[in-house]
Amino acid sequence: MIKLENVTYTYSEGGPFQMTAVDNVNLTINKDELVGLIGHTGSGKSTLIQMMNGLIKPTSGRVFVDGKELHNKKTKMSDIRFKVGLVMQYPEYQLFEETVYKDIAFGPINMDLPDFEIKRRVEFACDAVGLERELLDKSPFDLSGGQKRRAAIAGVIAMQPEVLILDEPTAGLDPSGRDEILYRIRDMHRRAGMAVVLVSHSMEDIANMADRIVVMNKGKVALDGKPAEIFGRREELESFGLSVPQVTSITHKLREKGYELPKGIHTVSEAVYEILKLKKGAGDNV
Amino acid sequence: MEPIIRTENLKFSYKNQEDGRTYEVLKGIDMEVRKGEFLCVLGHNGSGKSTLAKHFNSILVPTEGKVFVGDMDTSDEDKLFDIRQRVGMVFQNPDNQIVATIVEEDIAFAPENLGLPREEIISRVDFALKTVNMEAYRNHAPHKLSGGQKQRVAIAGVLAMMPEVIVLDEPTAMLDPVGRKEIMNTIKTLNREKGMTVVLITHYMDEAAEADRILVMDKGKIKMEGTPKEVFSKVDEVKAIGLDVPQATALAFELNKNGFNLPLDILNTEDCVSNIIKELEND
Repeated sequence: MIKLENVTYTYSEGGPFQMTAVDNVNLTINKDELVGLIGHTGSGKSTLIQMMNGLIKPTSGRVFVDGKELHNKKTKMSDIRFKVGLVMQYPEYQLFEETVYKDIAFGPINMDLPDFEIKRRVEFACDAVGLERELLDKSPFDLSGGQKRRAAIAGVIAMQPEVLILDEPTAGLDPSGRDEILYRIRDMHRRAGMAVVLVSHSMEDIANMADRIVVMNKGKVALDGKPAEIFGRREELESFGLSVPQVTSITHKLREKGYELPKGIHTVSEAVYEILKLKKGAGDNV
Repeated sequence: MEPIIRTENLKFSYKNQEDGRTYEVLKGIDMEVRKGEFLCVLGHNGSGKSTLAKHFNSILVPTEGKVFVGDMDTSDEDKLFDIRQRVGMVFQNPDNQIVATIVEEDIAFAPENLGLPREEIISRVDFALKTVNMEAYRNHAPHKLSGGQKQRVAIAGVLAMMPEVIVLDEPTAMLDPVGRKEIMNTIKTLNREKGMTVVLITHYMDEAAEADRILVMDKGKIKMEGTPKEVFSKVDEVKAIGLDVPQATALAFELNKNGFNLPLDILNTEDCVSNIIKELEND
C-alpha cells in the first residue's frame, strides 16, 4: 500500500544546521496491517509519516502509494491525501468550523462529493469514532477533550482513506478515553479493512494493538517484526531510549529465575495464560 | 503532618456563554496537601482535577467554600503574590512555559521579576539548574532541547522562585519514555532530597504508584484516598471510575481469579515477580 524506497530526509540541507532526520529507509506498509511505529523523540518517526502522504518531499529516495509515485507530475497529490489520512498530534487544535458536522464534512466537501454522500460519510465517521450524533450540531469548542479528539479523527476518517496514520492519538487522554479511541481504531481496521500506522510513546498501547512493530532509531529502521519478537529484545529497546511494558519486564525476570516462559510476552492476558501453565506444570513435576 | 494547602467545601462552577447554563465542576471538596508529601491526583478527563489544582495558587478562586495556603485565603487579592511564590505550577506543554531564548535567562525570569539582587538571582539559577540536572545546558537555546529537557527547564523556572509546593499538571503527557523517566526522577529528587511538597496530576498509573498518597477525583468529588497500595488494590473500584491499575496489579488480580493467592497491593515489577515465585514454589 505504501512503499518507501531508500528514503532520506535532511532538514536545512547545505546549511549550518543540517540534520538528517530520516536516513535511507526502506519500508513497506501492507494493506490490512496495523503497524505500531515507535522511537524516542527525534528518532525520525514524525518526519517519516509526513512523507507517507506527501506532506513533505524526501531529499532523496522514492515514495509510492498504491503503486503511484509521489512527487511525480503524473500523480495528483490530492488523490494521495484522500488515500492516506494523517491525524497529527493533538488534532483537536485544528478544529475550526462552526459546528462539528461542518468540521467533519470539510474533507468530503473538498473531494467534490454529492451532498447525500457527504452526509453519509459524516455520519459514518461520527459512528466510527463513537461520537454521539446529537453532538454534530454543536460547536466543536463545546465538546470535552476526548470528544474533540474524536471529532478531529472523524474529520480524517470521513475521507475514507485506505491508510490511516495517527501520531500519538491518545496523548493526554485518561485511560478510558484512551481505551475508547484505541478500540475504535482497531474496530475500523478490522471492519473497514483500513491499514493503520499508529505512532505512540506508550509501549502498552502498541503491545495491545499492533500486528507489527517498526522501531526507529537515529533516522533508521532499527527493528521491524512481530510484537513478541520486538519486546523480546528488551536491552536493545532500552538502548534506543524506549521501554517494554511492565508485564514484559515481569515475565522477563521470571525467565531469568529459570521459569520457562516464552520471550516477549507483552499483554496481561498472555502473561496470565502462560503463568497459569507454569503452575500446572509445577504440579505435574511433583 | 501539617497541612500546607487546605480546601474547605470547595465548589467551583462557571457559566457557559453559549447555552447560558451553569456547570458545577467541583462539588464540595475537603482535602489537604501535607507539608513534605508527594501527593498524586488521579481522575479521568473532566473529573475536575486540573480545576482543583488551579485553586492551589489562585489561578482560580472558589465560587463557594475556601482554599488556604498556610493561613492565607486564596481569594484575598492582596495575598496573590505571596501565594504564587509559595505554590508554583508546571503545565503539560513545556513550549508554552518557556519565555526566553537562553536557558539561564528563562530560569532567571521569575527572580528578576521579584526584584531580587543580582547575586541572589545567580545563586537561585545555579540551584535550580543543578536540581533538575541541567547545568550543562545553561547557555543553550530551549527550542533545541528534547521534550524532557524542556520540561526540566520549566520546572527549574518554578524552582527559582523557591516555592514550598510545586504543582505539576500532567507534566509528562507529551514526553517519550525517556523524557517521562527524567521528569519522574526530578520529581523524586525534589521531594525526597530537597524536602519539597509535590502535587502531581497524571494519567499514568505507574507514576501515581510512586507517590506517598493518592486522591482519586470523579465528577467533581473526591472518590478515593489513600496510599498507592490502598487505592490500587481496589481494582474493580478503580476501573469503574474509568481509570486503570499498574500492569503488575492487573496481572496479580487476573491470576487470583484463576486460583492464585497473591496480595493485591502489588505495584511494582519486583514485588510482582517475588510473589509469583513464592506462589509457584508453594505449588
